[in-house]
Amino acid sequence: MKPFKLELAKNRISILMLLTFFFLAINFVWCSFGLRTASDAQRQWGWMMLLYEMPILNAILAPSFVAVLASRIADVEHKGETLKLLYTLQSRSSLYHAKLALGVIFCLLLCIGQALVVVLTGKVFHFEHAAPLDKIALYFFFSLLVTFASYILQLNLSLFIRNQMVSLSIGIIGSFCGLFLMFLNQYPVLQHAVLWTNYVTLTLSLISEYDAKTRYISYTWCNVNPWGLLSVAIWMVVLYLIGRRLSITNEV
Amino acid sequence: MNAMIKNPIITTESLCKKYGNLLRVDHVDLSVPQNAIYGFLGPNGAGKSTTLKMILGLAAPTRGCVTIFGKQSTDKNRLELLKNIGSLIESPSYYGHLSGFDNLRIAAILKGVDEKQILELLSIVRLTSQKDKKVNHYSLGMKQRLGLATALLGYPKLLILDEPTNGLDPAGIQEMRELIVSLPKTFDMTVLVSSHLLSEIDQMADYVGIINQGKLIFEDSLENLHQKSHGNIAFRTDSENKTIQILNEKQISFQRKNEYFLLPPLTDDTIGKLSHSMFEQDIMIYRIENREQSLEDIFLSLTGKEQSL
Repeated sequence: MKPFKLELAKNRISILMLLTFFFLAINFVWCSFGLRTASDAQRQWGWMMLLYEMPILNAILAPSFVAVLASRIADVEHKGETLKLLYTLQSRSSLYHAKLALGVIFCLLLCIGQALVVVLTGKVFHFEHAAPLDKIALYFFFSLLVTFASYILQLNLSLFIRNQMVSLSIGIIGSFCGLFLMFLNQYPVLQHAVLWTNYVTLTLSLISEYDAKTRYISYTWCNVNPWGLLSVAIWMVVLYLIGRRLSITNEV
Repeated sequence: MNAMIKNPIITTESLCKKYGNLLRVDHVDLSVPQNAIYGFLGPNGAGKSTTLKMILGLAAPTRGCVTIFGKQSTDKNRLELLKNIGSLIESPSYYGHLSGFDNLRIAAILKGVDEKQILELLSIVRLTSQKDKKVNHYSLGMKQRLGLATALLGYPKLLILDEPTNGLDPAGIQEMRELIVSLPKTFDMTVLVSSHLLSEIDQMADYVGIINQGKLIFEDSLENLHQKSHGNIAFRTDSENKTIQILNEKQISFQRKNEYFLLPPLTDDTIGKLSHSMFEQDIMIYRIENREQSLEDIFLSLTGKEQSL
C-alpha cells in the first residue's frame, strides 16, 4: 500500500480528476447534442442510440485521454529525474504496480462515469423505456477492459520512453486507427488485432441498419464478441508482462 | 595500481559495462575504505557515473560484481544493502510541484525514517526557511542541497555523491564542500564523491581513485598521490649549446621548456659538480629552481587528457 499512497502524494490528483470530468462532460455534451433534435419516435430507440454512440466516441477520444492520463502519471518521475532515487529506495516492480493501480482507478472512474452519463442522458431526455441495465453493465465492463489494456500500453511508453511526445502521438494514432479500422468489417482479424478498434468491435452491443430510402436507422442487439474479448485479454497480459519486464531491466 | 585498503565498505571486482560495442567501464577494481572521503576522479565521460550507477544497481554490470558492507550485491539483497546508502547521482531528484518538505517526506516514507528527522536535515542543509516553497522555485544550489538532504535521510553509513557541485556558483561549491568534509566526523559516514575537478577532490578526499577511459588507473591515499609529485630541477643559462654539451658529457637526461633545462631530481653533489663545470666553461647560470610537480601534472600524466581540466 505504501507505494500506492506515495503515488497519491506525488501526483496532482486534482488535475487527473479534472481531466476525467472533462472527458465525461464531452461525452454528455456529445450525446445530448445528438438527441436534442431527435423526434419522439427516434427517442424510442434512445438507449440503443446512446449505446451505439458511446463506443464510437470512445474509439475517437479514449485513446488520447488514456495517453494523457498515463503521461501525467509517468512524466512526474522524468521531470524531476526521480527514478534514479526511487530505484534505490523501493523495488522497481512496486513503483510500476503503484502507477498501474493509480491509472486503473482513473480508468474505472471514467468507465463508471460513462455508464452514469448513459443513464443520466436517458433521464434528461425522458426515454420511454427503462434503462437496459444489463447492456449498460456489459458496455461498462468491456470498455473498462479495453481502457485498462490501452492504459498499460500508454504507461509502458510513458514510463520507459522519456520523450512524452512518443506516447502521446501513439495515443492519437490509436484514435485514428481505431476509427479507420471500424469501417473495415471485411477484415475482422485486423480489427481485433489492433487494440483500439476493440473499443467498437468489443463494446458495441448492437448493430445498426440504415435504410437509404426512408433514411431511417434501426438497431438490433447482438451477442458478445468472443474474439474481441480474447484479443483484449491477450493484449492486457502481453502488455503487462512487457511492462513488468521493462520495469525490472530499465536502466536510468 | 591499487593499494590494499583494509576493511573496505565497497569493493568492485572486474566491474565492466558495455554499451553497444563500447566498453564504458573496463574491469574496475574499486576499494572504498570506511569512514573516509573517497574521491572518484576522472575526466568527463571516463565512466565515473556509470560505475556509481552500477554500485547502486541503477545499471546492470556487463561483468564483474559489487560488494557492499561485505556482502555481494544481488537483485535479491540490493534494496536491503541500499538502506544504509544515501545517494545523489548527477543531478538532484525532486518533484517540482511539491515543497521541499513534502519531497523529503516522500523519501522519508520510502526509507522508513521518522518525519522528525526532516526538519533536522533541512536545518543542516540550511533550507529551513524555504521548506514550504515549491521546489520548482528553488535555485540550482537549493535543489542540490535538497538532494543532499534526501541522501542524508536516515543518516546512512555510506553516501554516494556524483558531481555534487555541478552547476553551483563558487560560494555554493565552497558550502557544499564544507558540508561533505564534515560528514565523516559528524555522522560517522563514509563518502564516495566523484568529480572531474582535481582541485575539488584535493580539498575534500582522503583517498583517490582515478578513472580514465573506463579503466581505474590509480587508487591510493591522497597523501601517496602527492608523494608521486617528484620535482624537477630547472635552470636557465646564457649558452644553450654549451649547456647541452656538458649535460650530455655527464649523461644527465634533460628536457627543454621555455628556455629552461628540466632535469630529474639530482643530489646536491651532482648539482654542485654540474654548476662547477659550467663555471669552468664560462657559462653564466641565470637561475636554478626546484620545481614541484603539481597534482594537475600528475593527473595529466596519468590520464593524458589536458582538455578536460
